[in-house]
Amino acid sequence: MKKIIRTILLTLMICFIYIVIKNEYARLLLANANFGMEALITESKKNPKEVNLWIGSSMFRMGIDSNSLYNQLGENEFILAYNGNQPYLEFYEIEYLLNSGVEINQIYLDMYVYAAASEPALGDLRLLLQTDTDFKNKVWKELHQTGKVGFKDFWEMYVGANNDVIFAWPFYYPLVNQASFQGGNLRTVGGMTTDSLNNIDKPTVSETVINSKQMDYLIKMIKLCQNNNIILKFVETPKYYEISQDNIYLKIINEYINLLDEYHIEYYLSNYTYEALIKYTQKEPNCEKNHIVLFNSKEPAFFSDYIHMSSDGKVKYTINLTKLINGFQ
Amino acid sequence: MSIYYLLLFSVVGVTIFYLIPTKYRKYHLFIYNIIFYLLCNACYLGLLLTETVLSFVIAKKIESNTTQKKKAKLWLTTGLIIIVTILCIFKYFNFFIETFHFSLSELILPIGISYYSFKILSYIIDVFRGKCKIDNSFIDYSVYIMFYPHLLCGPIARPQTILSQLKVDITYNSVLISEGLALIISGLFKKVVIADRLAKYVDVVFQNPSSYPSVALILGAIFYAIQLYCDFSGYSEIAIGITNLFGLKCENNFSRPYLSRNIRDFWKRWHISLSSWLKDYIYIPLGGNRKSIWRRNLNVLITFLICGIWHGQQLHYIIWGIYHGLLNILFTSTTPKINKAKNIACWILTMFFVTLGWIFFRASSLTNAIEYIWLMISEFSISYNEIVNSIIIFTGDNTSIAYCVILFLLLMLLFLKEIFEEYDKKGKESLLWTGVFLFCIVLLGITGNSSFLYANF
Repeated sequence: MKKIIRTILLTLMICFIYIVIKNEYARLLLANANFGMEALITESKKNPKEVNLWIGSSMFRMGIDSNSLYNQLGENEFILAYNGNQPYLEFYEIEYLLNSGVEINQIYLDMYVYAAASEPALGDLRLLLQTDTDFKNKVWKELHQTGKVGFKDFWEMYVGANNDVIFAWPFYYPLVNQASFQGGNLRTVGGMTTDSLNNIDKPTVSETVINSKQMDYLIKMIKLCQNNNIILKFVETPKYYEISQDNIYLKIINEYINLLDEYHIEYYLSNYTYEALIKYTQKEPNCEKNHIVLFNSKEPAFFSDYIHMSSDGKVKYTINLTKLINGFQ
Repeated sequence: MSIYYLLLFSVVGVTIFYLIPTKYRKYHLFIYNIIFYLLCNACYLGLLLTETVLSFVIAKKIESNTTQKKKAKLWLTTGLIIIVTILCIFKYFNFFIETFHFSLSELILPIGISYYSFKILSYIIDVFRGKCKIDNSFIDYSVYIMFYPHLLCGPIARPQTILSQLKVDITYNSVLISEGLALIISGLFKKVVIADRLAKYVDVVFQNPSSYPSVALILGAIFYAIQLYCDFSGYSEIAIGITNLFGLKCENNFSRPYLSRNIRDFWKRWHISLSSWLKDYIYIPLGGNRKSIWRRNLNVLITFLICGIWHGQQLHYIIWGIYHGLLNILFTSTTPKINKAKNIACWILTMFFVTLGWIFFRASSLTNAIEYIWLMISEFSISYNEIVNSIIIFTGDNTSIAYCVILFLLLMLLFLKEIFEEYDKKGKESLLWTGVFLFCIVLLGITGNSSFLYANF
């Protein structure tokens, strides 16, 4: 009996020590990686320079091609994309990078309707691998305020998150690092056909407005960038044509635009969304601040599902977007 | 019911159990079992109590008529009819009204009915056979029937095993408690680290097999075989572990079935409490292997058919039962040939047939099972993209690589432990296993409220 109790206590103690170390120092595993916040922080310490960040969700991971960014805009571009990345998380990400000494020139932020309309949640646990305990505490505090998280979420965040990745590091890291460049993902993803698109479910959004908490953080983020002389721009990556015509989608995009107009922030919309938005609001958006990126959203081969792009779509869209940024389109 | 809830409930129960005087412990168990059922399935507590009382009365009648065989047989028949009828009503009523389109509301299956009904049946049959004597009180008997760790997914413990231990006062036994803790940790490892890890993959692939490459379908079938074993044997170990914490012993329900080298061996190791029940109460009374080879084969088929029906009324369960019956018959008639082959080949062949059978067991219908197998064979091809698309199913992003590597290592760990047990290499490393498993549970366990696969039966 004593032996087994001793074994249990010893194991729990080892687990506790591991958890404390993991939450604070696991990020250092990514110091020399081609992706992730820690890589960016280490690089900025080694070689101080102003960077342009592309902070977003899987829309950016699947929609912004890092090779094209490099070729068109230069070596200072870096993508930080986490599944379901929400405005409140994006705020903490920017704050974390600034506190870590990263010098940021411009930020391109993802106008991801589905994430902005949702209550604060933690979508991508990989974000926790790249940050310190303080960051996690801030996120947990925010999540706790929603009143919809419990012990299970706490456990998942502090104890369970990323253990697979850490234990499989010798296998995981070389493969993922090789498939990453300037924070972006180089993995090839095939396109769809009309039939295959019809066989999958369309994404739905439960709320028809931007969540009030997310809205607060969007404003906080704008002010944070203004206070640090960072140029903030918003980018709406193309969604399949049907999605960009959806009234709820347009309603939330319109909310975004009203906010951006209020703070004189630039934004990039895809052409089909822009046209649908004019029909929806019966007025032209502010011409000074908006840019229209041409992209054939009716072509299923450019999409891997209704909202994520295929590799072909990603390259084509990024080239069109960067041309526009460079003033060539 | 979630596993964590079950464990929390048990911690409270065991603490109270050892705090109260020895002579009241059985009463505590009796009340605690009722509280458990009230919390899980209050509306059917009456049914469980009625069946328990009724079967106890019938068993008494059987025993009081031991000299008058006819009367005893009449009571036995009455008991069997009542218990089997109640079981059939609850298990097959919904199927009946769906098939014949009756506009009646569906019945909810009482928790554990398949398990406690079989326990009742074995009790009254054993009393009739004289294998079990009613020298226990009703409290002892009801503790045996309603014992909460065994209610959800078994094991279907035999009356002799539990009742003989309840005859005497249950005292604190530190060795038994240590064994119980080790079993609970081992069971939790199988359930929350392996089975729940595989569940998402299996669910996704079986739900829509046409959307996935053949490699994913093959992996899905193999993963389901492992998931089912780890889920069910994991629960059994937890249940036996909790039984040990209450100072009682119980036989194993699994004995490393995936190390079997033939189908008959597999059934000696898989869900032992059910397979031995079917053997003792169906196969042997039908004549077993004492008659002609044809009659023996028929008996095997009937036994496995009942095994399939026990799991559910849907055609795919029945086909799965018949499939195993046929495999058993086939194996017996080809024993000499198969035994000459190398062990590894026999093992691979056995695992192939068992895994194929699980597709029928897991599929939502027979059509779904046939479609799954057809897609697995007809669309078979291996390419880099297919392998990548099969791995990405785990998490949907690049962490799938890590998930897959860890899964492989965990399976190796489990395999190694089973090999150690198979060759009876027990020693100091048993504590090491407990430590390693607990480490994996804390750090790699899947959190959630997943239930047990066999709780649906």
